[in-house]
Order: sequence, then C-alpha cells, then structure tokens
Amino acid sequence: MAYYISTLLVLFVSYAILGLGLNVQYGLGGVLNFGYYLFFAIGAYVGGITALGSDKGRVPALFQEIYAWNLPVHLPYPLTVLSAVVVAGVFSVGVGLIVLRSVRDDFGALMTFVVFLTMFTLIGAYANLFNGYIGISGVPSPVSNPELWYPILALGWLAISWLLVGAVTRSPYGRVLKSIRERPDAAAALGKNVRHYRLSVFILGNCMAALSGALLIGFIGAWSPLSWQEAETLVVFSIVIVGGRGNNLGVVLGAAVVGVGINEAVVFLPAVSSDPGLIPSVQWVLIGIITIGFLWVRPRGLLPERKAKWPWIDSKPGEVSEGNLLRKLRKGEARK
Amino acid sequence: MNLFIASLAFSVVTAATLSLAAVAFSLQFAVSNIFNLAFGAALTLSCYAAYFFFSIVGIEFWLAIGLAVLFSGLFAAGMSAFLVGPFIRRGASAFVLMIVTFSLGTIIDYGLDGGFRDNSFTLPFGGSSLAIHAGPFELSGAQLVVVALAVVMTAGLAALLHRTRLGIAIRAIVDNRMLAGASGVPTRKVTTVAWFVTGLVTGIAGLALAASTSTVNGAIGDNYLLLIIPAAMLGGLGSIWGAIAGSLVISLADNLWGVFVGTQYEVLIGLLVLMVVIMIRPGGLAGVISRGWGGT
Repeated sequence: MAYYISTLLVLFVSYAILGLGLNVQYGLGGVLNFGYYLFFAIGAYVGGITALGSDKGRVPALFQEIYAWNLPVHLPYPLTVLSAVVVAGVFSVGVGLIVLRSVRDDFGALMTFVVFLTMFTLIGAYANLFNGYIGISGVPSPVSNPELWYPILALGWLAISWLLVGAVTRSPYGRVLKSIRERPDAAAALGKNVRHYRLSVFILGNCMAALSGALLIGFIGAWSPLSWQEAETLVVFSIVIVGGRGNNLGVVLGAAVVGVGINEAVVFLPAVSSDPGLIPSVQWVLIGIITIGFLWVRPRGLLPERKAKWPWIDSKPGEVSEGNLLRKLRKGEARK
Repeated sequence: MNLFIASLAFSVVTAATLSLAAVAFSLQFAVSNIFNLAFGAALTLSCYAAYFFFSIVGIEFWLAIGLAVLFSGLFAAGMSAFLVGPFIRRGASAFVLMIVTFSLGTIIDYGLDGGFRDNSFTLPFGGSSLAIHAGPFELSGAQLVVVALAVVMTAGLAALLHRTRLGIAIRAIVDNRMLAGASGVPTRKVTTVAWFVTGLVTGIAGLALAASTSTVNGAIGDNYLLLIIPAAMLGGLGSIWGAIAGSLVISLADNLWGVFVGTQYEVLIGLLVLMVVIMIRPGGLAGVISRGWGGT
C-alpha cells in the first residue's frame, strides 16, 4: 500500500511538471507542440543512461554492449537530471529553429507532430541509439529507500518547477509572451522578436518535460518506446485543458484529476478476463472524450486563467486617472 | 540503371496509394482550413470496417469493401458535421481544432484496439495471378488495380471539382467561405458533402494500403501519415495535381533511398522533405498557400 501511494505521488509530480511545461508553451506562449512527449522520452532515456553508465555490476550484462554512449562512469544524482535537461534543451534548439520558421502557426504544429512520429520510429528501429524497442531497464534509484524518499525528492523538484514557472509567468518576459499569444502581430509591431520569444518558450517547456522524464525513470527504472506512444501527448494536453490553460494551479489540479485520477479510476473497472487489453483502451478513449468534451463545454478549464491585474494603474473610483479611464474604456463607457 | 527504372516503376505503384490519401488530406484542409490529425486513424478505421463486414458479419468480400468505403465516407461527413463544423462555427482556433482531431484520432485508435480482439488481420485481396512482366520489373495484379483505381479516382475527383455545380461550390468555399455563403452557396451542406467525398477517397486509400501490405494492424494509418503529410505539403495543400506530384516525389525519394542508401534512416525522408518545403516554399509546388493566416 505504501508503495502504491508513493507510485501515485511520483506519477502525480511527473504529470504536474509535464503539465506546467506544456502550459508554459501552449498556455503562456501560444506554441502548440505535438512532439512534447518526445522531450519527456529523451529526458527519461538520458537520465536513465547517465545513471546506469556502463559500470560492471550496475548494468545488466545484456545491455553492456548496447549503449553507443558507453559512458565510462555513471553520473551522481543531480547531474543525471541536469544532463537530461541539457540534452533535451539542445535538441529543442534544433527542432525549434526549424519548426518555428513556418509561415503559419498550424504548419509548425503539424511539423512537431511529424518530428514526433519520425523520432519515435527512428529510436525504436535503431538499437544502438537507445536500445530500440527493448529500451533500457535496471536504472538504479538515486536514494536508498525509494518508497519513502523518492516521492519527497520528486515533490522538491515540483516545488522548484512551480517557483520557476510562477516567476516566468509574472515576469515582464511572461507578459511579453502573453501578448505574443494574444496578438503576435501587435507584439511584433512593438518591437518584440516573436520568433525568439517563441523559441525560448519552446526550449523552456521541453526542458521541463525532460526534467519530468528523468524524474520518472529514477523511480520506475525502465523505459522503452511502449511507454511513449503518440497518444501519451494527449494526456498532457488533457491535463492543461481540463485544469485550465494558462493557470498553473489549474494545471497541477489537472495533473491530479486526469493524470492520476483517470489512470487509477479505470483500474477499478471490472476486468474482462478474455480481453486484458480492454481496460487501457477504455482509458485512452475516456481521456480523448474528456478532452473534446472540455473544449466544447468548458474550454477555459476547471480553473480558468485569471485576468491580469495592473496595480499601478488602479486608483480611487471617480478620480480622473489613467486607471479609471482604462477601466471605462474597457466597459465602453468612456464615450458617454 | 535497371535498378533505377525498377524503382521508378515501383514508385508509381506506391505513389498511387499515397496520392489518394494525400489528395483527401489536402482537400479536407482546403475546405475546412484545419489539419485533420485523425486522418491516420480514419485510414485504419476503413481497414477495420472492411474486416468487420467481411469476417465478423460475413458479407461477400467485395461488397464488404464497398460498404467499408461508404462507411468511411459517412464517418468523414459525420466528423465534419458534428465535430469540426460546430467547433469552427464557435470560433475555435486552428490549434484547438488540431487538438480536437488529435483526440478523435486517439479515440478511434484505442476504440478499435479495445473493440476488436484481433490485433492484426489480413484482407484477402488476391489478384497475384494477374502479375505482368514488363522489361526489368514485375507488377502484381493488385498493384495494377491500385494504380488504375488511383487514376480513375483522381480523374473522377477532377471532373467533380471542375465540371459539376457541386464542384464549383466546393471550390468557391475553398477560395473564400464567407463570399461563397453570401453568394448563396449552402456552405454547411457543401462542406459536409465535400468531407463525404474525401472520406470515400480516404476509405479507398486505406484499403489500397491494406492490399499492399500483408497484414493490417492498428498502427497502419498513423505510420502512413509520415508520408501523407509531406506529400500533401510538398504538393501544395488544396491542389489535387500538387498532391499527386508530391506523392510521386516522396515515393521516388523513398524507393531510391531504399535502393541506393539502404533502408536505414529511410523514415527520415518525410521529415527532411517537410523541412525543405517549410523553409523554401511553404506553399508547396502548386503554391496555393499565401503567406500568413487564411491561405487557400
């Protein structure tokens, strides 16, 4: 039971960081990335391989020959996560430079989808990259009693991510991102380099995905293409849409509701012994329906994005000031 | 050199199936201005529908194939009328519609996965006895049928779009939906009918794909998207002839790569082509897409 709870906690943290990263991209910056889960996978692979190294004794004999990397030593704990983030970040620069060049935003989004499908096939087919369809396994946990300490460690990472994302959202940089999301042409007219801002937010989000991946593999210890099929991206989108696009707290709530809640709720469905694959299928169909349903019924999510407040233009009612004028303009009263 | 000619001939065969799919994908984009990410799932769906009618219901094979194509058309029409259309009328952004179609694709994929116990099956198209030999290469009967079918379908589509009132209405919507509506074109009806037609083409493409691969599994359509999307983009979205040209180029590149470089990294071709298209000529060969939002 304790193991079950710590699994749920780690899963929750992993989904929450994933959701926060996607929220930075899609919710804050207005960049749609269907290849998001690829960066999660890269984080998991790199985090796993750097933790394994090729030390005799640590790596199962079966895998010792396979890694093209053949790292002489395994890295100590925080460095494994950091290397995962760095690798994913460098890869994002390459992908982002190409994808964000598109003349239309939806072309770029379509291209991220193609990038995902291509890399999925490529990583699966070529064994000496990440051991193909078999994947890696036997990744050691960084803490001695993972059942107790790993969830706490994971929550620590979630806290760091939360503070980072909050700071980004509130900063002037975040406000520029919001303006680009709403009116890219207007932001460009004010001298903001739309492509640079989008690229930076693309990289930041993907780095968070990699962090989440490196965190998850430290607990579950194994990773293969079966764990990151194309539909997994939908879960993250579902988390952001159900929780509330642009609202960080909402996204964390979405991670609990969709990422953990639905995954665990289906476990309690009566199993059909003749068709063991039925329950996971039901789960995917359910997540798809919930996503479309929320987009139709409550497109802003459970906790909608709060309207930004600008304290420095607020003033007392009736007083003639910039703030009151703006407020009236917004309500359409200024002309009366 | 023989190898080159052989791969050229084989490219025509693979391009036949690919062009059907690319034309349907491209037309759906042109009519509704969205990318249908459920397209791969729709291809898979038509294969499963044929399997359902033939193996589970027990209808005669070619009748089952016909029903599957009809089903595919009705499915696309329903998708346009009840899912994509309402979202567009509500003013959903292109991004939201991509997420919606992506969700629908996942629902279909896993619905089929859970609904059918068999994870892979074979559709008995037969026709291998018809094989002809012409010079250095050999084409099987099924391949010839697919090529003939693609030619007939494309000619039919072109005739539909350019010779009938319906086709004129569809092209009017592709050009400017609002203006078409103001001129008395019943845009909603015509859009649904246009999706029905693309659905029929999708169904035929899916079944042609099933005929050219020995076994059908749940990933058949989604894997094929890696060729469809670059072919449609290279040709220029919204253009039938562009999609055919794009399919020929992609198929040829694919086969030549296979012959001269080896099958290693073959999967990268689609992405490489797409990269070049997006950076150098975003409108594709036909160049229909203008810069900025709201092309075609």
